[in-house]
Amino acid sequence: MLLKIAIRNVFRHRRRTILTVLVMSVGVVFFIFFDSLFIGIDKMLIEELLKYQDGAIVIYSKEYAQNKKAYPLDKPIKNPQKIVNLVKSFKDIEVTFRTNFLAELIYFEKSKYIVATAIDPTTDTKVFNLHNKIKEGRFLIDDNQYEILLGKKLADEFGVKVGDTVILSAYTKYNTYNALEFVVCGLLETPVPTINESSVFLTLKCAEELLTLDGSVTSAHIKVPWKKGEKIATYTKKVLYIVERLKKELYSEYEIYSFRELYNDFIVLMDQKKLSSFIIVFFLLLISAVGIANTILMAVYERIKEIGVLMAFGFKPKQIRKLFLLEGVVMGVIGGFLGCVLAVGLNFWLVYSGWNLEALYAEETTGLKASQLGVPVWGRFYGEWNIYAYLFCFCFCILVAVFSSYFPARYASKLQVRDCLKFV
Amino acid sequence: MDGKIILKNVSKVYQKGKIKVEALKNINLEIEKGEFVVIMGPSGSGKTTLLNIIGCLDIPTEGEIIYNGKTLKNLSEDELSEYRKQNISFIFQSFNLIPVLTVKENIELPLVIEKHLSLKEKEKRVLELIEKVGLSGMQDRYPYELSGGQEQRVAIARALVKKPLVVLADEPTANLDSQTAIEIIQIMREMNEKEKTTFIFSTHDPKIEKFAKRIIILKDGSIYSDMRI
Repeated sequence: MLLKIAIRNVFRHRRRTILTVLVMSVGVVFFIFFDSLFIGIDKMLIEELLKYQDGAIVIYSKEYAQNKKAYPLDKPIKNPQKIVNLVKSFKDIEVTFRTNFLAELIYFEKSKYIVATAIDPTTDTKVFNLHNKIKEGRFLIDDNQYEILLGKKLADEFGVKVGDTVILSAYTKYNTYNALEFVVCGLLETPVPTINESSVFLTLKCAEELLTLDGSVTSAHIKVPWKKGEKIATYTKKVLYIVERLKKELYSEYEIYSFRELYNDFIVLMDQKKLSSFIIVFFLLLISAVGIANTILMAVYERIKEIGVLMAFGFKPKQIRKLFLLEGVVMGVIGGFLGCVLAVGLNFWLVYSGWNLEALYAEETTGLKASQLGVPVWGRFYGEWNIYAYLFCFCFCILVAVFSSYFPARYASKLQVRDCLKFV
Repeated sequence: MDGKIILKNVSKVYQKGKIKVEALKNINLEIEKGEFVVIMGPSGSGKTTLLNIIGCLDIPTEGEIIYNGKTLKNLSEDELSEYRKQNISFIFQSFNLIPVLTVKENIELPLVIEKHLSLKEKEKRVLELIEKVGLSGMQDRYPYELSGGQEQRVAIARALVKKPLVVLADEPTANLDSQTAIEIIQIMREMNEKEKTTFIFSTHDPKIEKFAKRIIILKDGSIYSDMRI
């Protein structure tokens, strides 16, 4: 009966209840939407960087790792075969070798300093997904020398098309200056803006000609398969396990990094963004808490007569308190439920259609390049379903409702029956 | 258990700012089980205060009240609530039905906190009372769908549903037209006869006097006259 009274009382002032509940629902929708988006971005960020930039694990020589921002060609991986043999002992994981170097890209009067990457086209496709992101032209072929892949944005910036010839100049392993002409064989368009805007890929054979590498490579990149639907935490655990095992064998000569260490800065940045959106949600829920407290307090004042009648019939203070607490809970349940239902719709859209942030921050209108927006991957972002966010929000709404209705309910329970009945 | 209510030397003083108001002065009163008592008197004579004290809604400044041989002196708020729950019911001048509950639910309300009764027993009592107060067929109506007289009938049924020792009514007919007022008093009288429930109510209306078995007239907080008819 008390619940019945509580439910009916909540709907006695529909407009007031709807407003209070709506604020709460909006808070829930915000929370679930951003939680879904951030989980999606986290996953996409890691997945895409893994697919296009680094792989799950990267290995450098110890000397190279100490100075890796300078891309020192004279500190290569001394025994790549040892790494290949070790990787073979793990099921389903693949390795490829790359050499990154600083170079100047020249096309007629235009030039730009970039980080070029020499790859083995045969093994690179087993670890990375670049070959599937060719916008124009084709991927590198191991046999063809003097060919180059450019990021689409970089090519657009230079006005270069497939089939054009560009010059790449760089310091060789022995610190002499060299330059070679390359034919652009393809243009890359990936979800990683830095690749599109400033990356150049060529084969290790070409790099040999340009840089006199003596067959050396500077980094090994390992792919650890990511099963569909696998959570980031599970995947991370799997990768860290492999890293630990590799470290046991390679510790003396090599530095081994998991993606977790490589992208730590991005992950921290994302956590900060999450925190800021959660603060917004917290304030929304705080507003709704004040709304509920206000609604219940108004209900107490409006129903002093009723409280008096109930007390006169022997209802104890705790039963009066329970009645008003129940009204708060009813509002919390409605707000939480409504918020979750609305969030399901929005979440559905985010999971299956995705949110095209690229369109929102188009370079033409903002003047900012995608790489300057602080997110290392770019394009259409997809959300993830997170049942725990729904459960958390629902429970949190009830908690907020109980907390905010407690004080008015306590006030109601402390009223003296004779004072209430003066209103009668 | 004799069902007797005894007030011994009951006084009530209200402090209103610096002024002391003596609402009741040394009241001595004995009310037997099954009496139908009308308390009359001008405004400010202490009728409501007396009903509040008999109803354990207020505590006397001096004196004591004895129900069924048990003094209620020094009882806590919770103990007084419990005592009210078991023994006392109220009928109010402005009915005070819960607007979100139907006729049936309003009548059932005092039984919500009665844990010893089965749902079946509660249902039986409610339906019986609906019939007795002449509201058959109206059990699913809400208070706003009833006339004043019908609302007060619901209030009477609500007061009687838990079979109390005493029903207190503060000017139960004040908001009703004279014909309906007489009907309501007749119903109360009928219930008094049938259920042997003690009824104590206050009124200004002289037409109601003829239904009383006992009339107590208050004046300036003291009993001016106490007549059994």
